[in-house]
Amino acid sequence: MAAETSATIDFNLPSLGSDMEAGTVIEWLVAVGDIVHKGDVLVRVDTEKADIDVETWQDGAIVEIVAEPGETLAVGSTLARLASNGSISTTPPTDSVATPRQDQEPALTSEAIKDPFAALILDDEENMRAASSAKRSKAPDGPTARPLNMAAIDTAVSPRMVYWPSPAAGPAIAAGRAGQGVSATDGESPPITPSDRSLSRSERRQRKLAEVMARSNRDIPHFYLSRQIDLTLALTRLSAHNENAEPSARVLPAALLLHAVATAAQGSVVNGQFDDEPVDSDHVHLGVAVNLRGGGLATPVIPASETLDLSDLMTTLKAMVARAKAGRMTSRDMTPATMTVTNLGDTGVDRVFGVIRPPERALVGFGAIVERPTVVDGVCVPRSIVDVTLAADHRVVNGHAASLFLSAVAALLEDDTGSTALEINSHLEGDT
Amino acid sequence: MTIDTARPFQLILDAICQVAPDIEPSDVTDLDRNDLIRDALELDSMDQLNIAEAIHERCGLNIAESDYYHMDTLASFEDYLREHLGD
Repeated sequence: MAAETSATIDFNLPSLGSDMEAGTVIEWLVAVGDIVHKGDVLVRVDTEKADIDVETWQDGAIVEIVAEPGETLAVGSTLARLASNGSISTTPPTDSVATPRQDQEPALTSEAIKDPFAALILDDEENMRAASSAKRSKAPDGPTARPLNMAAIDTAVSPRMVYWPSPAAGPAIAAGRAGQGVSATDGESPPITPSDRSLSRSERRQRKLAEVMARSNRDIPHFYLSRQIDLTLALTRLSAHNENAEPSARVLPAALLLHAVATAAQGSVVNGQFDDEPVDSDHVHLGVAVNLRGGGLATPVIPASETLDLSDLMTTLKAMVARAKAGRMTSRDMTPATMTVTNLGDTGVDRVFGVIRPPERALVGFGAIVERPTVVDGVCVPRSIVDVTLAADHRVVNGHAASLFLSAVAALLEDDTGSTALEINSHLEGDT
Repeated sequence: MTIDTARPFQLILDAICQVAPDIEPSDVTDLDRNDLIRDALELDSMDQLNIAEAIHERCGLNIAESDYYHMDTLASFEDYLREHLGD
């Protein structure tokens, strides 16, 4: 019978970045009865950082809109309900995974822990199931599952929690951070501490950034490395490509640098997250610092950046930066990053020593590409040089591994047979 | 062939406002003709590429990367467009 083969899926407010606690519904782009597909934008949500277009990760039909425009909800709260057909396994309440597992702290399955990011970006039903059953298994505990103290608050924003926190965790965190001492054990969700609505978006964003950066400097023992990279060969090739290409097909040096970072980061210890313990990722979800006119900073993320070739990376980057500057990002842009790159080359600085964005382990910085006198084969010649820097978390990364990572970035960009060079070559071949 | 002298400026204005919706047209019209557009409007290399792309879409003119320096100021940009759209 149809009633039994269809199941209802909760469409919840995802955590759009590790520092997000709540969001306010701006408008629904769908209505009850609409058929939606994975990747469709269902709702626009106001967060401290930007208006986010939140996508669904499930196919189905909208059966109920739970959160009305204007409502502020904690991360993990239900926004709407979808009816799926029977082919999508949404675990019924009687299923064994619904049993609360209090001994497993953030109750995710091992697959989800192995790569908690996969569910957000891959076409992978298994991961979606792992995610939703884990979330469901927490639900019966309610807010009493963890004591509200500073340790619990810190744990609550660990990478595992970022994705599927219990519905009560969000307001508890918000209240705790705001120092209002709201008890989360009274069985009722405390009201969400409103992000001060009297502040402008940019003021709220800056306040949020300040909080995260202060936490980073307090908790993360940073160390810094710097390395010079000779881009002469890569830029010569890139210019040759761009000179013949229409503007829409041109590739910026910034994309070249990101491509090399993404390739080198895969499998390196500098990629991933670290809060109470390391959380590795098979993918490089690359945060990109984007300067907003008027002084703001956004860091949208390129999910699985290491899987993109140079041309796709450029296309993705261009669209993503445009969204960030317009203050309207998608939930995909808010995939929790495993590493962030800041490129201040346009401003003419030589080097940037950045502050790691927790729970990431490292931040890569690029300065301006400049002609510098360089010794090549015993002769001093002008070469196009960029300084790459790495700020790394000494709790999980050591100097040797960090320097190997920077060497790998350099090799990809300098070496004639490096994969980035090969990417450029394939572009050149495509031109002819 | 005669070209409306207002057209190059209008093209630049439209291109900038298209790629940077947060910039008001008055921000552009208020520019001094010899101001560095990039600095005055906080444009970066991505914006510059997008402006070149917008110009290409709007009038078919393909500004080569080696000609980007003509986009530095309103004066040089207008001169460049006038010259290349005149053919």
